[in-house]
Amino acid sequence: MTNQRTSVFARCAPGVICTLLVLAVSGLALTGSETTQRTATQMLVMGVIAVGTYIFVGNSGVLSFGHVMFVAVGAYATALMTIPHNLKQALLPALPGWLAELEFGLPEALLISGLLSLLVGVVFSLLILRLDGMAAGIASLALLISVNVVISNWDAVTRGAQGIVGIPADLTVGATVPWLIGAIAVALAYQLSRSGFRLRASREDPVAAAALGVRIRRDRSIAFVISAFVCGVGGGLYAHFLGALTPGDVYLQLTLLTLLMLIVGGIRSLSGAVIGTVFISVLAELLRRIEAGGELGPLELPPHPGVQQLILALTLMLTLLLRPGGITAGRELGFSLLGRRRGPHTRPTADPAGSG
Amino acid sequence: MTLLEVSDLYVSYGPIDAVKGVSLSVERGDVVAIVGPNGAGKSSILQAIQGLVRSRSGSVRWRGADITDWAPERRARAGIAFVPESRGVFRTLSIGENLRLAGCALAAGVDVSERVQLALRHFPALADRVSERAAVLSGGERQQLAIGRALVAAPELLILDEPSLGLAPVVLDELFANLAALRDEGRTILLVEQNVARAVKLANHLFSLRGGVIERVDEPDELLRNPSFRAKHLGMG
Amino acid sequence: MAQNLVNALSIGSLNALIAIGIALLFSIMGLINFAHGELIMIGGYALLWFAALPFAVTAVLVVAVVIGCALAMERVAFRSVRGASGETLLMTSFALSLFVQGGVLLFEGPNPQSADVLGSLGASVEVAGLSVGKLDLAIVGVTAVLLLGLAWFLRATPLGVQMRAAAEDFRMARALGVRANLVVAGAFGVSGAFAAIAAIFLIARTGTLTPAMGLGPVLTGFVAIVLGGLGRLWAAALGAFVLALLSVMLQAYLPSGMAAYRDALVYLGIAVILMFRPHGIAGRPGAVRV
Repeated sequence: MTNQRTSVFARCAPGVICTLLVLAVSGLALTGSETTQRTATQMLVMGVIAVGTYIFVGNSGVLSFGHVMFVAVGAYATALMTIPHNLKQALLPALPGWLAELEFGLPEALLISGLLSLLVGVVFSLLILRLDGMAAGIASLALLISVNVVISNWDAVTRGAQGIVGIPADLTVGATVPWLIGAIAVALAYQLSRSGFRLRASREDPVAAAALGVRIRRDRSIAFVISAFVCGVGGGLYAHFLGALTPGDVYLQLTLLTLLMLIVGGIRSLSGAVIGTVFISVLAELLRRIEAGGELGPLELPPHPGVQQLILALTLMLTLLLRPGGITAGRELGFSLLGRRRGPHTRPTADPAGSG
Repeated sequence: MTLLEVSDLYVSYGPIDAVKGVSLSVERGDVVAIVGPNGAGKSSILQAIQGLVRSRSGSVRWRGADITDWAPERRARAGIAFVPESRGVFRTLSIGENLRLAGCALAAGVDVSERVQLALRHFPALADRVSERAAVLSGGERQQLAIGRALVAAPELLILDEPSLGLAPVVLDELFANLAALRDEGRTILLVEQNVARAVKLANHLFSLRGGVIERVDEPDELLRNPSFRAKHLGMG
Repeated sequence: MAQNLVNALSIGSLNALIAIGIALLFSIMGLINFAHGELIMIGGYALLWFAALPFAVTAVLVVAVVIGCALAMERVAFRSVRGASGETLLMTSFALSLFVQGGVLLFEGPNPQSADVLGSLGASVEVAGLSVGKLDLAIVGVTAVLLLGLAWFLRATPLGVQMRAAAEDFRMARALGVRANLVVAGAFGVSGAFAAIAAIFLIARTGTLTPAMGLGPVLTGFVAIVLGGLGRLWAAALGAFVLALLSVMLQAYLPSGMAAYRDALVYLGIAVILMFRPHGIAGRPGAVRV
């Protein structure tokens, strides 16, 4: 079996190649216009979120529909920690003293937001990770909605539905790239760890998973919590990309985008998360322009609200129907382009014949 | 007349080939038994015939027609009845409901109640308990219900996967007496059976399956008498 | 207190209609259908489209339209992924839900619209010393009839028995001759009918329509099912009523400052219940793949 002979170097290959891909895309973007750079920055931020989500969803096989809740926590936390002092006082007069005093630079704020998301993740994992996989996935959606309810109503801290404005929107491609590379490194490290390995093994063999019981729950919790951290950081970056944050920005639309990136790229591999991010970011941007109306090359289009959601959802459905494994079909990018490893059999060869 | 013809069948589970190039045919009135060690792929053959498992290659023909891609329900309606190893009895349904359900496979216009009565004649013990939930049945009774249910559909071919599994010797006697009666009625039966002695006694054609490969056993009695012959066909006896 | 119980009964009934619609599909196909919310939403918009007609006709048309949509969903989106993993099914239904939402968004616009349904039931009646809304009586009554009707259907009709068999062991049912397509279509049809009735009562209660209105009800349905216990049809109804009770009690006894957080607290309460009974109140372990 090639596994035993796989060197550390080769096992790190996906991470290295993804990093190179990211650097290549970023480098390309830096030669472009400001709009292009902005789109690239968004792509990088979404990359952090997608990779963060992948750490849990990709390794455990549990479709956490509410994972964006960690992005939400991170986004608001970072926003509160980085808004200039005076503005904060004006917007949020009811903020408790110590919160009002807080002001950090972006890197510190991001790490603290990550930690906060991690803590939330610890609490939530206690609540939902005892459930069956499918129930847990849906339960996480309930948690997302709960987080959204809290954010939308805790006016003193979040300004509720009005949202927070005046977040320093100074995010550049160069500033974001290290964070994405960091996220990829964390994802790779977890994937190669024993916990990650066990989790993936349990994913492929649910009978063994059931037999392992407690062990799997612990591994899931670990993945969940690490994932929460990375998503929290992603959330903070997102807040800085947007400059203004409302509850709807970190809710269902983002959820659809994230899941789409993972599924289209290939939910079972890290490379899939990265490739999916690039692919869908481009698609989403194109659709956003169509939806907003205006000029698209030689065409003049009227605004069509809902087109983006429609086409993105259609893309997701077609992917699931035609190529459920996604672009990478579960395989990681490796140094040998013939790289076979890792992919579980995406289509069982033994199943009932005929459909009617 | 040849009812069933299996040609060069391969069934795989991922990278593992459970069934390798199996060919066999069943004529009307035959009782064909397949014996062999565990894990040899015997169940897979039956499941592929019923359509519950997709074969990798090879074909299954029923009364001349190629049914390799047919859905399981279509095969049932064509006259093939299957009793799996697990019996497949619906525990949340009553005994009567289990029996009547098999009526789906019958053509329109056939009186299901009449067919149920006919099937129950083979298993009178069940006749009084028709409204009880099937969950209360013992192993032997469940087997009876499963076979009775298969008979409701007036099948041309009755397929049984390990009918003796999990049954006490006394119950086994009754079961195989029943099967012999069915044979003497002229029914066509294909079964997979671990209990070699019973299989030899019941069947008029015997095959052995080892490691997915099938072989005809021309002298079934030798299996019982000759240990080295037995070892050759069945592995570790 | 009694007033709250009446309220809980009415809300519970509505929840039960939604939950059973979802649970039926789950028990037979292992499919948790996010798009059930969109069936309800389409039912709501259908009420608007046919508003000019006498109510009885409108109701029938709404049921027909929603059943039609459910069957279309099955044919177009779910048939090709039948038998796929739970993940794929779930994601497909999620994608379908957003697709349908997007479609309606495109045609009807994002703004809320109002619909006046069953206005004649706006008044209240005195029952055993309590003031009970006629609409609430209608909801409880119709739900009871529908649930009894479903029970009868599953017991007494051939298709119903086939559906019960398929819910227990689909493959074996097919091996006996049960037509998979028929059973699945039947399940979607019944599911659609329940969604349509739920839509009518939901709109009668709330009066507003938006393309995104399906998410709330479908999540309520899911939570009810998980709470009651996955894998058992009637447990879904149980979960629905417990959920309603929890919701109404919190509403009644929450200090007014916290009122907006009610939903979050309901979910928290349920999460706590699930910590002690992770398979649901009436669920059995092993009903769902890990």
